[in-house]
Amino acid sequence: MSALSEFLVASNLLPHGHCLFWRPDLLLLHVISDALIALAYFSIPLALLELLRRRKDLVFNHVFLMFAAFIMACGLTHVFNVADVWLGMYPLSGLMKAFTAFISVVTAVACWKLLPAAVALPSPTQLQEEVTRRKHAEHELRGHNNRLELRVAERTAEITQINEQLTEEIEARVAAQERSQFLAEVVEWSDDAIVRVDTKGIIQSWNKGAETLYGYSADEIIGQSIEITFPDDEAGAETLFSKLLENPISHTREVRRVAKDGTVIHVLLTISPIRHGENEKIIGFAGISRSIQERIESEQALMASSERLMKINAELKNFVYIASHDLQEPLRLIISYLTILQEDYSDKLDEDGIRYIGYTVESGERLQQLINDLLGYSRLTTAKTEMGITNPQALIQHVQDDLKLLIEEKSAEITVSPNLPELQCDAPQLRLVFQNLISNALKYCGEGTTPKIDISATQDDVETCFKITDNGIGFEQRQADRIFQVFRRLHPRHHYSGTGIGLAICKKVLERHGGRIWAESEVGAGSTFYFSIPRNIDSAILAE
Amino acid sequence: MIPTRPAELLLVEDNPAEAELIQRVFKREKIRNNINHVTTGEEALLFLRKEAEYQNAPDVDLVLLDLNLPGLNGHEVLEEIRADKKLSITPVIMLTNSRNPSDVEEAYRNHVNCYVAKPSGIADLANIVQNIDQFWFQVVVRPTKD
Repeated sequence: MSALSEFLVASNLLPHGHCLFWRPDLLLLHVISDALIALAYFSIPLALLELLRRRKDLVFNHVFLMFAAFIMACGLTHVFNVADVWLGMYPLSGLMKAFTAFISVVTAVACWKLLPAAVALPSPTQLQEEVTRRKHAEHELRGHNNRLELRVAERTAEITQINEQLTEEIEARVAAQERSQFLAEVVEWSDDAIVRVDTKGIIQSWNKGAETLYGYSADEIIGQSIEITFPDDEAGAETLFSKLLENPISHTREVRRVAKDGTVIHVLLTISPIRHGENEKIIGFAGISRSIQERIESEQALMASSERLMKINAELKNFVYIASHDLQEPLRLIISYLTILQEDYSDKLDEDGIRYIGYTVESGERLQQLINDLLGYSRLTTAKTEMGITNPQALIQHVQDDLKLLIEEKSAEITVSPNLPELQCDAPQLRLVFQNLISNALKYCGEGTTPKIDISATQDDVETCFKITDNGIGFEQRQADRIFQVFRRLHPRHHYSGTGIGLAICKKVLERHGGRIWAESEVGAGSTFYFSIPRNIDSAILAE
Repeated sequence: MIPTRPAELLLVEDNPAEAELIQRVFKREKIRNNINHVTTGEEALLFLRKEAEYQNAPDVDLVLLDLNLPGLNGHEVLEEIRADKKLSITPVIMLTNSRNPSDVEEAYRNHVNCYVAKPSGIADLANIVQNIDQFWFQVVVRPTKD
């Protein structure tokens, strides 16, 4: 230690100024130059450190550090040179130089070692080119990028579209599947029998409705020919299906089919071809059948009852003739033989006997009249009403001709209003009405009274109304409805003859024309009969 | 025209009262006709063909045929008569109670000579009997069998 300190502080050495003879000019030159060099050398590491601080990315930063240390050391060497001018501390400055030499050598070695790498470092021009190249590349890249993005966008759109299509397709398939499942369920649980057969009539499907209707279960019948359900009198499956293939259109008809238990059922059958593939080849037929048994039965019942009614109606129509034959024949014989008794055997009978036979003949004849009147009345209900334009004036004239004897006998005065309107009616039937009303007016006339009959009519848009007034015995107004009933009479037979059918016939005729008849009367003050016939007679009434 | 023999009538009538009445009226009207009476259509045909017990039956000049007969009815008897070559020319009068138009029509379709409905009173019947005699045996020329 003491040796080192002796080495370092060698006070016996001359300051460097001595070598310069302390010439001021030389001193200044050396001192100022060394000081400036030192200052400059100190500033450089600062700049390098600042550079390093700022540029963290510098590749050879350890070289920069070594450089900074080397320059700093150089600077310090120059500081020692200045100090040596006055102090002559050469050992210390020598050590400083040695240190500087060491750093310099190390830095120089590092520099040389670094040289290839440093040479490899691009020049600014190269860098500029590189930058340009890179910019160009970048531009290209951006172009590529844009194109790529565009393609990506296109592709994305395509994919989105495909995706949407796929979604739609999937949804459609799901819907179709649901629909087909729904249809399958409908078919399976339908009350209608729904059956599928191939083109030869072999059953391929058989729903619940078919099981119920025909009684066969699907398991036992699938694979068999549909012919099993055909009635014996119908052509077989072969005929049917060859016809269907010739003319494959959907059609519906009523047919008979045989159930498993052998019962024949009426069904409404719709057969439709089932087509398959693009060429629509017929691969079979669908048959939908439904029992119309109830309808057929009710139709048959209806037809039977209609036939029965028609028969009854015909029988009723026939009744008038049957009655005229069967009732009149014995009656006619009774009257005929009684007449023979009266005429040929009167000498063998006493007075009472003759009188009794007289009563019997009278009653028989009256019965005959009743039967005839009743037949006339019932014939009215069965006879056809034939309408035509009729002149009532002529009809009344005919009636007057028929009743000529009675009119003359009673010296009756019949006044017919001129210009009676023509009307639409069944003339023979209307004649019956006038016949009955006029003969009644003549018949029911007070003793010693001259019958006066007045006939007039009015017509409006709706109907024609006739009015027949007499000066006869009249009747109580409260009887006005009863007189139109069959066999209803107001007077004892020995006063006024008649069966009581005339006014009932009048009423029936007018009902058949859609019209009506009524009367106004007072005992002893004559009667007025009115009847009306509509101008437009409902055809429904005539059809009755 | 004076008949050489009494005319032979065949009355086909199942009701004896009816048959006797007609016969009596003929008698009352002093008509000199022979009235042969049978009660069924079958008997009438045997009589006309002179078969079975009717082998000695006379030729019939006029048939008075009722409609309502047991067995073969009047229409069927008429048909048989018209279908039989020998009998077909025999005049037939339908004398019946029926006024049914269908009966009338059928009778004429089967070529009845006339259709008469029985009247309700004896006077009318007498009148008809007179008319039949008058017309068929004095007015018209009837076919002869030979």
